[in-house]
Amino acid sequence: MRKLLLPLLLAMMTALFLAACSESVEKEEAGKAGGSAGSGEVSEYKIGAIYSKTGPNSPLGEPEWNATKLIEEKINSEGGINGVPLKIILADDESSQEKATQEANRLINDEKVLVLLGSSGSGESLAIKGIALQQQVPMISAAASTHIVEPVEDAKWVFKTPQSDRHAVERVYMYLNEQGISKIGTIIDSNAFGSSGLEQMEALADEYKIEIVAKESYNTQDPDMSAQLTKINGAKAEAIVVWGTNPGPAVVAKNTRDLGIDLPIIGSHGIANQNFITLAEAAAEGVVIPTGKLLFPSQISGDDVQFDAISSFYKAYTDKYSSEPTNFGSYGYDNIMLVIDALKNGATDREAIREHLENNITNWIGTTGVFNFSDKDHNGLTADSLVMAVVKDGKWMLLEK
Amino acid sequence: MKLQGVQQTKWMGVLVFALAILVFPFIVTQSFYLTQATFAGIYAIIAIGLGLLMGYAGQISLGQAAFYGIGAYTTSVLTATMGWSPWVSLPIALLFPGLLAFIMGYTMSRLSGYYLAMATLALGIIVHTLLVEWRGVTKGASGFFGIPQLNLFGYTINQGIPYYYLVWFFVIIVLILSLNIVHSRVGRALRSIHDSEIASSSMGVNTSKYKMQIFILSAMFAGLAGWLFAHMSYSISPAAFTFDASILFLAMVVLGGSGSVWGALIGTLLIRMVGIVVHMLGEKFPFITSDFEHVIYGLILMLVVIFLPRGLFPTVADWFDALLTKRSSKKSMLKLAAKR
Repeated sequence: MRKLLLPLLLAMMTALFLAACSESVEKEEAGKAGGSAGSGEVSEYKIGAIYSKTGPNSPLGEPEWNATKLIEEKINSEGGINGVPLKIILADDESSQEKATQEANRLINDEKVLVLLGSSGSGESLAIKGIALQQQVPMISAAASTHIVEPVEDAKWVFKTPQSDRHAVERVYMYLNEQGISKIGTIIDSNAFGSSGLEQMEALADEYKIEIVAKESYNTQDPDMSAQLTKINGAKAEAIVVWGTNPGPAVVAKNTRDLGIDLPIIGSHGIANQNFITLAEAAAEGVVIPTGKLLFPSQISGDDVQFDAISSFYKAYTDKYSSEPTNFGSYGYDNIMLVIDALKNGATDREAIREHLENNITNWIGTTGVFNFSDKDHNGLTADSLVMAVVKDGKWMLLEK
Repeated sequence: MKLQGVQQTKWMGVLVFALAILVFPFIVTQSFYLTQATFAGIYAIIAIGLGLLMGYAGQISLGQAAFYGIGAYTTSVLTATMGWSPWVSLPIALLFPGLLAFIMGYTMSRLSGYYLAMATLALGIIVHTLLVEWRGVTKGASGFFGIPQLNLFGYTINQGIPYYYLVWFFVIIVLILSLNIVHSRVGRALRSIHDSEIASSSMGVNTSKYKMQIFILSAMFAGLAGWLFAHMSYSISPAAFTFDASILFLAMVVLGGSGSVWGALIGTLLIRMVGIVVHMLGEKFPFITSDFEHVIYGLILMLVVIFLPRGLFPTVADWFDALLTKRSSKKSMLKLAAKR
């Protein structure tokens, strides 16, 4: 038995590996036959998209992935861009920097894509940024961190569509000023999202005359945060600002109400989903957050310049998939639509697409906001693209000014 | 003159291996495999160090990712924040993990058994927490970014073929260094410690000294891997230096065979191949996700520990040896028969 096992194992491994290799060779040949965007006759526009369909970032990556597929099908059923079909190669980075690096290298060098879209997380986007800059390929990220596009001198080839955490913090501070609240206690998730939120809250505090009287943190899966909340309450904070993604903020809301602390709770755009309300149950009532408008398409007024873009995308998405697109879907949508805009206007090589994105995207209406890219701003949004939302009767409602 | 029982470095093997590395990018031109191979080289450096520690000093480290991370972050901070040249920061990126290993080893080396495993396990968790929480220096969980690329004679070493050759150049150096250590007096002393610590110390071998030295060496190898990893990427994050990574390094060594330098190298390559195969199958069958990798690693570890406790490489090597000797003995028998 033992004698047989080893050769068997080896044979299995070799067979699997060879099978995998031959498969990829076939694919490569098929790609050659199809003809990529080379010189002469252009038979298709190849675009690479790396989103985190699996792993911890999958709640972000899934809607982005779906939105991208949706647009590809829509464009091709309408006859492509100026008669040339669109080919989007979707890749899953599994929420890992290493995988993102491998996929980015594959898409750029093996598939020879014109543009890279993604990734969903900030760490993965930064990893891809390095390669995009080295290989001079335009990329449009769907992640939050400001550092992806700043400083702009070091981000020549990199753009991004989601509001930066800076915008979200600005929007929260504007709201606090309106409410006359000046002392806040912060409690953040110790992950990338939470820590960059805190970084911005600290950086912008003086400008908005906000004093952070207590800084607490928790780990994403912690089941109880009573100790941190008691501290914040003891520090005479007038509001609790919680910066994290589910399930942390739901635990914070529950614990706060269980402790009988009567402070307003302000969350981040990271909990702009129904899941938060499901998790926090009754404690969710009254929680306020900054969010993109795609959270409640039916509540956006018809006068809004984004109305058409949001409602048509929302309808198309919910018709095809059984889930909500969420704000993340809107990032995926805007990313691919920006590229299509460039291709439609005759920017069909890497350099031209970059030039088009930087110079010709002004007052461009997307589902996330109205974009104005320039050589000084590769995010192109302001805090106004976010609105405030509040939980009322178990639903996110637009908070009127 | 060849002394009986003394193993010598087989230079032929190193040469063949170096040639294989040299021609690989010409045979496999796809960038995806080249990136995989580059990562494999980085991991191989760590695995060889860990293999020395496990196979020769008989110690287990569950915190190799911590030394890897310290190496990566040391050079990142020195180059990106303080503006040093990456080549100047290389010795520091080796020194810091080595120093930490020295401090730990100083207390641990007098103990036998699984104390080092426990201590390094704790170290891994502490270092990971430090990387996440010390935001002023490490920029926290979202990761350090803006790490400069390597420059050699005015030529920037980009990801792809140039970086592949750089990484494997270091792998070969580490390989030769390790083979020489193994086949030296120190190596024999270490093997004796692995087989019986009591016997070797009663024969006059300073066991704690050798154990500590090899522990420091393995930490420095991990630091070197960290340095290579950091300058390959524009950005690194603490997520690459978790306990999971330490376990993966362990799996590479156990699979390949901890009693052999080559084993660690082969183990690394095999583990990477599993990853590629899972990736390929995942493209065909959507239900196969990256979680499958962990299931397969677990299965491999189990099978290896049960059926091939010495690891794959030594077993295969013996198997080949046996095959060759059998054939040659048959031949000599025939010759003998013919003579008669």
